[in-house]
Amino acid sequence: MSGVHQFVPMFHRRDAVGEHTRAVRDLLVARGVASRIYTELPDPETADETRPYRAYEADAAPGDVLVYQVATRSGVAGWLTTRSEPLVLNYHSITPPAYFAPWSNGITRLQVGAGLELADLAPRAALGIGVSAFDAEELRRAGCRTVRVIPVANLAGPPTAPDPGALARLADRHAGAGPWWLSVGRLAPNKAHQVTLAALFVARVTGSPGTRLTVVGSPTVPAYAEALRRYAGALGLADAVTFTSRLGPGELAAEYASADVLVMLSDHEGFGVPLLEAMGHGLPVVAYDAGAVAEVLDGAGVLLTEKGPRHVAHAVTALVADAGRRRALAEAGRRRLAGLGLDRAGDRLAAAVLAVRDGAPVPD
Amino acid sequence: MPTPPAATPPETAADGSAAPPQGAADGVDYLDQVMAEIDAEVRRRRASGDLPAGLERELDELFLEFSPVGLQGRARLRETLALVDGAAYVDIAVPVASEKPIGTYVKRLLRTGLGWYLRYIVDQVVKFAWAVSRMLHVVVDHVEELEAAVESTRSPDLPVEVARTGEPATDWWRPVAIEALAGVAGRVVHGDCGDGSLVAALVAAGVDAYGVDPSEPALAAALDDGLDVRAEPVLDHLEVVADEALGGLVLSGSVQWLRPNERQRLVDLAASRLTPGGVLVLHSATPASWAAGAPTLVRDLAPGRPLHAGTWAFLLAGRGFSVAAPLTGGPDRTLARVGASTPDADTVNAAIDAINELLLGPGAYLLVATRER
Repeated sequence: MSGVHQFVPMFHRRDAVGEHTRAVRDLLVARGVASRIYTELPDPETADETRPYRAYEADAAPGDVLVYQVATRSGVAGWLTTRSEPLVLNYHSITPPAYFAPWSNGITRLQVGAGLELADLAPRAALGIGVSAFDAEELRRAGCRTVRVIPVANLAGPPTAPDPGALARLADRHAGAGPWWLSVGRLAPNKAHQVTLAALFVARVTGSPGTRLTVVGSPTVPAYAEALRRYAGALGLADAVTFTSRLGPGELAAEYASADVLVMLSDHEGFGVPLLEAMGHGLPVVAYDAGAVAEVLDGAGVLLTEKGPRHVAHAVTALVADAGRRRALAEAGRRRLAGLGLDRAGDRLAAAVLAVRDGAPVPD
Repeated sequence: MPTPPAATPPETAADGSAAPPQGAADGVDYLDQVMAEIDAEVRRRRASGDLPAGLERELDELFLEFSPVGLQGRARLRETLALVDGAAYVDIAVPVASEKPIGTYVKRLLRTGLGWYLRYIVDQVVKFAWAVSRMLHVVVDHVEELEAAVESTRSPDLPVEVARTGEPATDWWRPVAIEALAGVAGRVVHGDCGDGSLVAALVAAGVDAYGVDPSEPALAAALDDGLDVRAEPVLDHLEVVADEALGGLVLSGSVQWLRPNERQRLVDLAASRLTPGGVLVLHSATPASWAAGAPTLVRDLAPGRPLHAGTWAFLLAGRGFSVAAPLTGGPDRTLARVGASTPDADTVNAAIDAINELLLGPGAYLLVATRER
């Protein structure tokens, strides 16, 4: 029986690409389409859901379509170039290697390799799916002839409810403190967390001395994460900044529910899941206009075209102080979230992939 | 750590002119009072956003201190290259020391056994690394040659005090500037404000005006008059002003002879910092009067030259300004035409007209531009 099978370097739980891959598989299976997930490296937590990608050679059936979830370099990519099945690239953005070059040779090489692999695969792909128009444009530049924009499939539905225990702990911590900023994103150089720290410093010395910041993100680039901690210390912010990672969905939801504003100053964002999470929790957003940020926000947040610490501090402080504007932005965020069509994303993706299988025109 | 604005204690506390009372209770009250005044000053400064202009640069540099060496702004090419050279050699003589005698023996055996293989790989790695290192040396040599060539063409900086002597000496344009700025919404800043006389006149006209000037001594009179003036070049100041934060901007003085890249940056900053409907007033010597009348030191050392009014108008219009026709004034050395009775009057007058147009005529102009909404 032919099917639509997905390939992903690793398949993790609580990981944006992993959860998206699972959602796509479930949608396809629900439509009666055979769909398996193949990985390069097994994750013990999900090993019972996946098969090694080489095993596909024995599983292959005529009429199969292969979907590759592109996010980093992987041995899967080179192998896919040897396959004759129709290929769909589901692109989740590759951070340009230049951001990592000063910090980590290893990650830089990975990103360079990922870019080369994309350039190799894109012209062979029957369809490229970008999660944003920004990513779709990268796919076109890489050589994809047919490209569609379909957001990730796992963000439909109401936001995760905050974990009551975490909520109570945060309420204790925030009690009596000033405004609380939240920044969510891997501790990687393209996320530019140092600018958030500098803006926090400026905010604290220019009228909002009680301002605090929580940075939620795993230290993807350890040297950068260490530099951030030392920078915070040198700015006298050690007690004002909390770095945290590996939060469960309820704990992360509690962070969104407890903060006053999400500050996102990334230099490169292919989509920006935290923007959607903040909108879902009614948290107003101040973000720098990079990559897909403007497209995702679409006016439902404060979009900065300049991110000097003074500008950021001024923008965030002004927003936090204006309850009416915060309410209006929270409402705009909810409307934008509804307008993104996340509830239809899975159906659209399944329809696009099945059109490739059937040799039909790919719907917009 | 960058220094936040230091709280300046009130004069009574700082200069000791008001001695604290003697009694213990009174001493405590006095201390409380001083602390309250310091707190009030800190709050005022925090609220005003009165931070040093170089703060953002300081913050950037501080972060770079924690970054890998390649990012550090202060790292020199040669120093960084030395790191490359040092890392370009890969040593295959693996240390064999061990806490256990047998460990040393085993490690030595492994080293000997694997040596042929590692040497083959390492030779290629080292060849590549040294080729890269040699290429970087060539690049650095070229960069240093270029730096030296650029440096050889650089003129000494024009001292700001000397630069001031190159400004047109008249203030014919000030009433026009005040009229243009009266009633604008938001603060008005005068770049190169000098003694602050225009700032004072604007304030007297009900405009919320302040000034910046690169020369601290030039500001002494303005400070004595209690005006809000700051010792900063106008470009540095505008860099740290929030977008659309200004209602008006007056440019005069050294704006006339900015470098081309600085001039473009100034226009860009003016466009972004002025609120829609905000007014920009620009006063400059004409190129002809500057060439004829500015001190030789200014003419020789100034990094740029004054532009014609039409050129400024073109630059400003390109950044969304609506520019009114320029007004001219200032020292006017126009030669009078000769009477018809003068021999060869037509020829002489044609020559006078040409000289007036090229070299004489009004010495300065004023442009009033409005940022379009």
